[in-house]
Amino acid sequence: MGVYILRRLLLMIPTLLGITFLVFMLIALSPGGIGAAMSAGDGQMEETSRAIKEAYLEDRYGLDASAPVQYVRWLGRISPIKFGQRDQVDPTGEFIQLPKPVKVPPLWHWYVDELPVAQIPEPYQWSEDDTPESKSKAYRRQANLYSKARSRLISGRALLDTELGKAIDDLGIKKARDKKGKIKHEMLDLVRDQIEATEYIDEINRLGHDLIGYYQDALNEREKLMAVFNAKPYPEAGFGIFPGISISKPDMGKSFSKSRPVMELISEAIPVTILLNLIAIPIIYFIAIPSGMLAAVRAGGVFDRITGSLYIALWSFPIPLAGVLMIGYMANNDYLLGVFPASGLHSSASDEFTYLPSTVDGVWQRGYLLDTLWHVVLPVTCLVYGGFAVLSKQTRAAMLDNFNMDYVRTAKAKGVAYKDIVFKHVFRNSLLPLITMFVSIFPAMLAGSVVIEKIFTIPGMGNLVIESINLKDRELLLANTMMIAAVNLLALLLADILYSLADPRISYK
Amino acid sequence: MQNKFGLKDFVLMVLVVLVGVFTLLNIKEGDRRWEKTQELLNKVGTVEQQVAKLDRNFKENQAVTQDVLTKIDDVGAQLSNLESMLASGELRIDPSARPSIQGSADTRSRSSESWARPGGVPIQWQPRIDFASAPYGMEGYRIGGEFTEVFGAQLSKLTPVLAEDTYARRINDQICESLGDLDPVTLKMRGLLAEAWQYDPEGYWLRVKIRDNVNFSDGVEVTAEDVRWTFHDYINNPELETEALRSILTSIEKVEVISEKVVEFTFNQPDAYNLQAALGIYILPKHFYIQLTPSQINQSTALSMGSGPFKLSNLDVDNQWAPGKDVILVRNEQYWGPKPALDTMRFKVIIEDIARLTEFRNSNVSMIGPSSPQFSKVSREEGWEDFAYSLNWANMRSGYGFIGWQCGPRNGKLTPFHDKRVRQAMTLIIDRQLIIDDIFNGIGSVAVGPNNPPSPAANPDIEPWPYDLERAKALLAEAGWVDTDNDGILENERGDEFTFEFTRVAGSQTTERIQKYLVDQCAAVGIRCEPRIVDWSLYDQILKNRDFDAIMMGWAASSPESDPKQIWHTDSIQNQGHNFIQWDAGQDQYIDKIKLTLDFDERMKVFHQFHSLIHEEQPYTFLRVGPWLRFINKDFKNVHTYPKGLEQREYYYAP
Repeated sequence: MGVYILRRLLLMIPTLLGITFLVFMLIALSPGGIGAAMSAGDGQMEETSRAIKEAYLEDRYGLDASAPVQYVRWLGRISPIKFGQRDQVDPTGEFIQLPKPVKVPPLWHWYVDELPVAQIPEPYQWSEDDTPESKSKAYRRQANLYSKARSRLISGRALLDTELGKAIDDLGIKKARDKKGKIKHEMLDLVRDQIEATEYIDEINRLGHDLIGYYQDALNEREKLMAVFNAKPYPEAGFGIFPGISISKPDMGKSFSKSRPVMELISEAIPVTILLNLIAIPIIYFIAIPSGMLAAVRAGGVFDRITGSLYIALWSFPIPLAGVLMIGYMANNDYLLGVFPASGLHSSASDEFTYLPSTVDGVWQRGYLLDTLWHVVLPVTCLVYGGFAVLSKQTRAAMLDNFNMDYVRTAKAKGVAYKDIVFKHVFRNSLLPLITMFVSIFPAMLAGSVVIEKIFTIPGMGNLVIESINLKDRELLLANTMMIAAVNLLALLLADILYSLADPRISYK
Repeated sequence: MQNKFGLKDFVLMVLVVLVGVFTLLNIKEGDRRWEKTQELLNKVGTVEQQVAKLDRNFKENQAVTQDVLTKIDDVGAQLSNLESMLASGELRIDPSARPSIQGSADTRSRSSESWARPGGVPIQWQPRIDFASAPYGMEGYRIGGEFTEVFGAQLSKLTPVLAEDTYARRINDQICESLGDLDPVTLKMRGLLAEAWQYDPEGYWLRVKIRDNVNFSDGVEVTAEDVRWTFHDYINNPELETEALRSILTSIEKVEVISEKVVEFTFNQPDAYNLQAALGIYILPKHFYIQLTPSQINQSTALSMGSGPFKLSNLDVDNQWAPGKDVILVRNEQYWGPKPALDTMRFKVIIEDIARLTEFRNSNVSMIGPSSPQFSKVSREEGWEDFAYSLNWANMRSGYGFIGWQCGPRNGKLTPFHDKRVRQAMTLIIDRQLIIDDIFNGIGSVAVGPNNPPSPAANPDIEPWPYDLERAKALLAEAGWVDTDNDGILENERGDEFTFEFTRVAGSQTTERIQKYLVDQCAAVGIRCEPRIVDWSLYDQILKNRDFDAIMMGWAASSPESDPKQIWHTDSIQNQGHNFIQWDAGQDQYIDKIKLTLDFDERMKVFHQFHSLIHEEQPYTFLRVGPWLRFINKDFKNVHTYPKGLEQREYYYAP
């Protein structure tokens, strides 16, 4: 069994990679591609401003690389085994990575014969009385200088591209742009003569020469920063095994639509979703399974028919409509039932509440805990009402199957009490399908329910997942996909283990 | 012996579990109390510090007073000395030598202008800041109350400049202040933190004097260094995620500190929008942000601090506001300007329309923005008048919807709309008032051009085109579109039928109804209109490639006079710019002149000429100005609508 579980766990790794890769490529290849939403909303920005902003963002998040490269970079960050130079950790817990390399300016051979090379500075040495603070300061200062030089290079490049774009649009060379409207520089070499004949050439040359200067600056600043970095101003992350290979904490990265660590976003959303489901799922199980059993015992009776049709009716009732109706009638104070809150998880005054119910100055106060429970009544009702049908029908069907088995007849003939037949024999043997059901419900728990979260303004996982897809937020999307996939795979494994516990005939040897 | 799980065991188990749960809950309760205590202790700490500061100031003042007193004593002694000398005849007074009081006043006012740049550039002194409608002394006026505003979408970040969406701006406008802002009524630039400025008539520099008594919400004075730091080390720090603003503010070359309260902006080139750009930046407290690393600022959710009338109730770096919770602002007791009456402002997110309205009906929130159908239905309900203000007005942030006609080539082929007569005819066949009445429940007004009232940039003489099918047919015939083969569809001389593709975004009911109306109207004059319904995510590409005949869209507005260059200039035809309709009819002369005219009134005149040209040319058919719709609870008084929007700081709570 242990070997089996280990094998399954190891097999999960390639499966997870496959799933995340597929999802990532699907999003990356959809119109707009990764990060498209970031440039939305600057409709009234001037062209050059927009180009510069896009260039900054592309550089910051590495969006100019092709989709597979972006994926591989992400893999490198989340892998606990790291290759190459180790990251350092600053006192706020941030990973300080090796400074990004400087990109060679496009079409440089138009302006200079030889690319400038970096001046290599002296290796950086800390003096005796350098404290961690002064080291950090030295690093920060140089990091700022480098990022300024780099940003000049980037905006210079964007400006040059804008000017080149004007020229090729004037000439009507459509092939020089890719699908997103980006300029394909390698194509421009072929039409250099034509571009040189346009009115833009003076500006292009000027910007081009500037760009080479910026490139030189950026190279020098980077070398200086490398020198400080190599002197290790901060402690290194993780621990090394061999030179060039180390083990360190996986870094899930930062969501670029919210510019916050992905783990922080997920850890804010998950408790909310778990709270809802932790209340909802037991309710479904405690109602659906007993009523399924009862329906099976009295198959064809009044109870069977009533619950059967009622559950199906509830199951077919659309959740968005139910949510809106509930808000309309159960949250509006004008109606008798309208005592529940319409949105959110806490009342405005809940910050001042004690945690448990209490009396303050002779007035009873419901407290933070009860307030929260009171707020989840409507959303939980929405989550629950459609869930009875499938589960109770499954229980009923499985029980009925077993009722017709020979062993039941034998037990009856033997004179076993009816109660014992139902609970000890039939129910236990009907557990298998219920385990399968649980496995499918468990992962859904973490994914959250988008519709209900939207209607009741609950900041849970469902919203986070949908947002990450809509905004094409690479890090958030991949982290969500990975988490949901991992939970699904674990749930499947758990199901297989539970099978063997419930049914001694199943073994994994 | 069989161990059976009996009722007794069950009860016992339940009891054990219950005890466990209660212990856990009690621990939680204890934690919560501890947190609250910590918070209180922190607050007491800040209060203590401030008291100490006051005490120190007081002592210093006392010392100064002592000093002055001894000096007065000295002067007194000398005076008596003089008196005795006079009396004894050792001294004589020459009456003509008395200094004039007039003269001394002159030197005083001249010395307060000493900050100005010499050269005779006039100083524009700014009046004291006051409410547009002061609530003091009104019936039931009192300090206190909480105003809850509702947002329709989750906001993820508040930190100024990093968060630039409308919701974050709504909140930050209460917390942070800029050197100048727009007057809510006249929409003209006025000094906020700035007491006066000098603006180079050539447009290359701007020198600003900051008011003397302005301070941030922690009591630290606003200085010129804060302005310089905000621009150079915050907005223009490439390590911070301030790209959105950084890439716009390229016209400001540098900001220099002249003296403690005087700062000078230098511009790359003269531009009518420079003044607004320079004065409109939020001034942030250097002493607060400088304690944080760039990545702490980048990853922050709500580190907003400024000099405004309200401040964040929680500005703890390690325990910031998290999206999903309400944003709570409290009154800034140290505010230098007219103080608001409200104690707190709360910003809540409710995504669902109906839930918003329900919460408003239950008086749990103070203001919502209802949808058009909600507004027209609910505001007519009986008793609603007494419960809420129903506000419906166009202001400087009201955008407009339009249909853009492809004036240039699409895939190398000219569309019928390259002829302005055809475009005029298209506008004539669309009854925009009918669209507003039928589809938008009568809410909104017909848009007249790229700037609409109350913007001063809109030409007041322009009437929107009427609805006139006959005139449209005549114009089409004039342009060469006649039904020669009597099949009900117009043809040109070459025999091409008048067919065009109408692109609209998927998923919106109103656009779908407008599209159906347009198809019918086109059929009525013999034009075949083929709808193309696409997802919003494809719009960008369609616009960039100019791959459409007619497209329906809307532009949002953010200021009374938005720079027309991005959308209308022929430069924006190149390089996939936003003149995606490729309209070129001599508009550049006006647009370039607008950018170069620094004088407000002169600039408006050019704007009006530009507006006339657009009206004549109809590159867009302007559909509708979407007004702001708001319900505000009547427990709040002194509620007015302004061309700038709403001014919550004037409200007071009097149920």
